Amino acid sequence: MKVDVHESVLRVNETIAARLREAWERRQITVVNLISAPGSGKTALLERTLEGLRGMLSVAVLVGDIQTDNDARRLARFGFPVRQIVTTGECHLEAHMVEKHLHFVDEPDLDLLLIENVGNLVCPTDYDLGEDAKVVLLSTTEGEDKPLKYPAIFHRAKVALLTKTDLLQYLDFDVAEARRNLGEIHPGMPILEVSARTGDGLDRWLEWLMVQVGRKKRAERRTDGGESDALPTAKVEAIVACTPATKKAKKAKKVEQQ
Amino acid sequence: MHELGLAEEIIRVADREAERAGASRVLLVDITVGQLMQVEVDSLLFLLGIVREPSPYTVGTTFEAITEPARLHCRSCGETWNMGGWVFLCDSCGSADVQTLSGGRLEVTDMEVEIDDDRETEVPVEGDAPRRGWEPRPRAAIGGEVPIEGQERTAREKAESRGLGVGGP
Repeated sequence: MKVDVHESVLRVNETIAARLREAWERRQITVVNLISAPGSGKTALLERTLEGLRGMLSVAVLVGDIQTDNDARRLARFGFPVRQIVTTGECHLEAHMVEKHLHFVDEPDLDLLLIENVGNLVCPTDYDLGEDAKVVLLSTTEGEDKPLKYPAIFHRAKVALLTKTDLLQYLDFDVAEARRNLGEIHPGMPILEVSARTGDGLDRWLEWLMVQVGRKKRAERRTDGGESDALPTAKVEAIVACTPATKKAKKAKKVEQQ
Repeated sequence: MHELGLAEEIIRVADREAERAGASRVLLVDITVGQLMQVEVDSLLFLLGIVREPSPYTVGTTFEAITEPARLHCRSCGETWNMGGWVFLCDSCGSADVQTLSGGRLEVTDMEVEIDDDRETEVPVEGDAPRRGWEPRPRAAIGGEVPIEGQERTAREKAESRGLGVGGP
């Protein structure tokens, strides 16, 4: 006898992710899922991100690793709630893990939840965590053809960060070719070049995050029928003003004037 | 690397559907794997061959995977084609305004089951699960079972310092 099933193999994950997404919609919380190969600089980027957002937004971090809570220790220094999810072998985060650990970092006034996935370009791709955006990192030490080798995540991500740009002067990495490869797999995806070490390009990344946060809050207000607002403009300006790149530029200008 | 979890989920679906249909055995399970999904089909089938064993329904079941091609559609020129390599630019006009029509599916599509004649004549007792000396395996407990020293305290301390409570598990 034939039985029609048509059931998603990822149904359990999809159900939990939908529940999380609905709660975050209601509370106007923006959620970003950072994905990259191990060692591409997710934690370093988050350190600078938390530093940049201090005093601006209420941020929380969930960080996934197969073992150790080293990353949570690094990230806890910035005064935001951080929770390590130790997967003990599992190569990606699933929605039930996020749901289980969320209460450790949740705050009533939370604006932004940053989820650092387990370092892996394959498995995290198919698991929805209820996030607004997957963000993929590609570091300059990895090779321009990485997007061609692991296309799915580069296709699904909303934005790509080219990290460790401070090393470009020592490497043969061809930025134009990397951009060309990304452009075939995900035409039109914004590609931000950043260096967590020098702070170059971080202002654009923080601005991108602020715009996501602002959009979500605006969208929510519109459905409420309330006033249309412009949360981010003022906040974005404040953030951009205190990012390392802007500070550096200001300093350079000052020196020039003298 | 995540194919084991997927294989276990497929067995769970097959078991449940077999039980619902009053079947004694599952002969065949058709699985659809979209071209855009990160699933290694050979690994998945190999693992299904292992995890099917403890269940009386799926011992000896054949699993077949059908690939769902990724169909792409260009909104500029109207062309529709099957994705070759992962290029999301229009084959004909080069436009970047390309829509994905299919290729994201990962599902148990249908099954072929055998209904035991003897069982059909039995009077089913409502709410009585079939006794087969086998229990479905619970979902593997993954993630954060290992408490990280100091973390709970940190979270609570943080909450207390802000005058907030931390939610229970």
